[in-house]
Formats: sequence, structure tokens, C-alpha cells
Amino acid sequence: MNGWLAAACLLLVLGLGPALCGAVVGPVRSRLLAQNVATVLAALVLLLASPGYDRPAYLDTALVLAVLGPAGTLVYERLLAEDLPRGTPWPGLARGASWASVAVVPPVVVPVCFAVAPGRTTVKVLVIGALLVAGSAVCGRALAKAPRTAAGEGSGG
Amino acid sequence: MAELPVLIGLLLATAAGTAAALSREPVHQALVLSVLGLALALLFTLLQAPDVALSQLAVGTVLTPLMVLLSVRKVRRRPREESPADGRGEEG
Amino acid sequence: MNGRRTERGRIRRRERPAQPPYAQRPLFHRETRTVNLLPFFCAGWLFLVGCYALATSRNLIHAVGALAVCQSSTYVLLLAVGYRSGGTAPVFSDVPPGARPVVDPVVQALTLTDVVVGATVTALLLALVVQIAKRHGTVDPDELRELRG
Repeated sequence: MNGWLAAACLLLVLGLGPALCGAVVGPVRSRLLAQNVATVLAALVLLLASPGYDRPAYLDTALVLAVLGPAGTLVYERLLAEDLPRGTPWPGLARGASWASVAVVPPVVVPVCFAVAPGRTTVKVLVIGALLVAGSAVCGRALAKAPRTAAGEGSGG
Repeated sequence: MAELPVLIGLLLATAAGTAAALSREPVHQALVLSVLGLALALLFTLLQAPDVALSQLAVGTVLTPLMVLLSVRKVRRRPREESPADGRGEEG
Repeated sequence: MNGRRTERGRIRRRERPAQPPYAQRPLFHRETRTVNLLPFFCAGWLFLVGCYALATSRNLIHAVGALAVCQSSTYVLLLAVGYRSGGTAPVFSDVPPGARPVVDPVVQALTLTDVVVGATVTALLLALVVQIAKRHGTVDPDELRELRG
């Protein structure tokens, strides 16, 4: 059990636990936000598993999740367009969650970059980090937009 | 403990599965199923099965909740399209 | 000198026996029995919760989701059977074969098939639910009267 796996355990308990709780309670908008945060955190745990078990092959799973995660969230947001305006989540939750999920990516990606073999693997880790940041920023912005049918609701982008 | 990541992954997957089974509303259940897919993919990677984790990511995180949401949408649209003279009891 | 003389006068080679290509230790080495059995308890719990939700469901789409939870219990069970403590993934794109002990690969192939079949079954069942809604106008299993005697 090395430091990478300890960091992965910490991220699992402190990140995915609350994300699961957020996906279980509340209106649909906050559940979708929790699902988005969960995909980012899961991609980070997969990224930490690669130097943790000393297998560069585990980076491919993180890459696939970095691509599929935000895409899935955007598709759900489209399909749930008529459910999203119902219920009022906490104000500022959308912004806070999207900023938090963007802010937690660089402290994980940068050490992993230095831990893997130089060359193609480092580029792969950087691409994963960039995809995660861009994906969670796009999803956070899409979910924070005020819905068209509700009156004066939403956290104001 | 050397197996702590596997233990935590197991407990997380169990909690997510319990939450998914006990969510009554299909829309809520779809989002919890997505988190269950993520937890299972993490557990599979921690159990040293990255190829199974790749399949589970594609299937359980995106496809299954997507299919559930699509069928909820189709089922919801049905009663609105039928004529009011229909005698069958309609429940969404 | 490659070895030393034993009491019978024969020179015994000093090399150790070859390591088996798979790790032999049980799931949780040196831990208590309860922790050893935790993956199987989790699989059993997931299956029971899925069955309970399936039996008490008021919405057929929710029932299909409960079936997905039941299927996930089988994935956990299979992979827990194949896991070896200290083993690594049986994927040899980045490490040479035989360098490290691996977990059981056969069980991972079974789980992979299980995942794909589970997705197909879920898709078929949801299509059936949509057809039921089209024909009977409801997805509540208590309201579907055709199977009543």
C-alpha cells in the first residue's frame, strides 16, 4: 500500500461518498451535478491507480472515462430537460460543485505526470487532465444555466 | 492494510447498488445507476480487471441510464398522444 | 562454486524453485475470516436488495433497474472468486508475461461476457416495457390484468 493508493482511498471516501449521497437526495438538478462530480472523481481515482499498482495500462480506463463522463452528463441534461426545472437546489451549488471538480484535477494530474514514464505516457496523463477540466467546466456551465420554463430560478450561470 | 482500496470499493459499490434498487422514481434511479456503474468500474480496476472496467464504463455509466431515460420519455409521451375517448385507464 | 556438499556428498544446486506464474495466496492474506468473506457478503446483499426491489416494484422501468443491480452482484462475485492478493491484471501490453503474478484471467473473461449480456437483456426488457405501455397504457405491474386468472 503506497502513497498513491492511500490518496486514491482518501479520494474514494471523501469524494465519492458525498457524491453518492448527493445523487440520492434532492431535486434532479442537484442529482445530475452530483453525477458529474462523481465521474470526475472516479477518473481521478483511476488515474491514481496507475502509479499505485505500477501498471501504465490502467491509464486507458481513465482516458475512456474522461471522454465518456462529460458526454454522458450532457446527454442526460438534454434528456431531462423537462425534469430539471422542478425543485430548487441550494443556491450557488452548481457553481461551487463545478469549480470544486475543476480545482481538484490539477493537484492529482501533476504528481502523476512526474510519476509515470516520460514520453507518451506523460502526454496521455496531460490529455486526461485537460479532458477532465474541459468536460467538467462545460457540464457545470450547462447545468447552471437558468431553465427557460421556470420563473426566476437557477443559480445564474 | 494492503487490501483497503478493494474494501472501500466494495462498500461503495454496495451502497450505490442499494441506493439504486431503493430509488422508486425511474428518473432518479437512472442517475443513481450511473453512479453505480462508476463505482463498479472503480471496483473492477481495484480488483485488477481493467478490461472489464472499460466495458462496465461504457455499458453501466452511459448506456444503461440512457436507455432507462429514453424509455421513461417514450412512456411519458404515450398518454398524451392517445385520444381522450380512450376507455383504458392511463397511468404514467 | 555453484553449491555446497550435503551430508551425502552430492552437490545441491542453490537455485530456488521457479515461481508459479500466478499468485497462490488467498484473497486477504493474514486478515480475519470476516474480511476474507466480505466480497461474497456484498454480492449476496446486492442480489437480495435487487430481488426485494424487483418484487415490490410499482413501475416496470424501476423493476428493470433493480434487475441491473442483481446483475452487478454477479460481476462482484465472479471477480472476487478470481482475485489473488498481490496479483496484477492479466494484461501484458506494458509488462512482459511471467514477470509478475496475475489474477485469474478466465473469470475476467466470464465477467466481460456477463456485462455485455446484461446490457443486451436490459435493452430488450426496456423495449418490452415500452410496448406494454403502448398497448395497455400503464407500466404499473399491479394494473396489468391480462395474466390474472
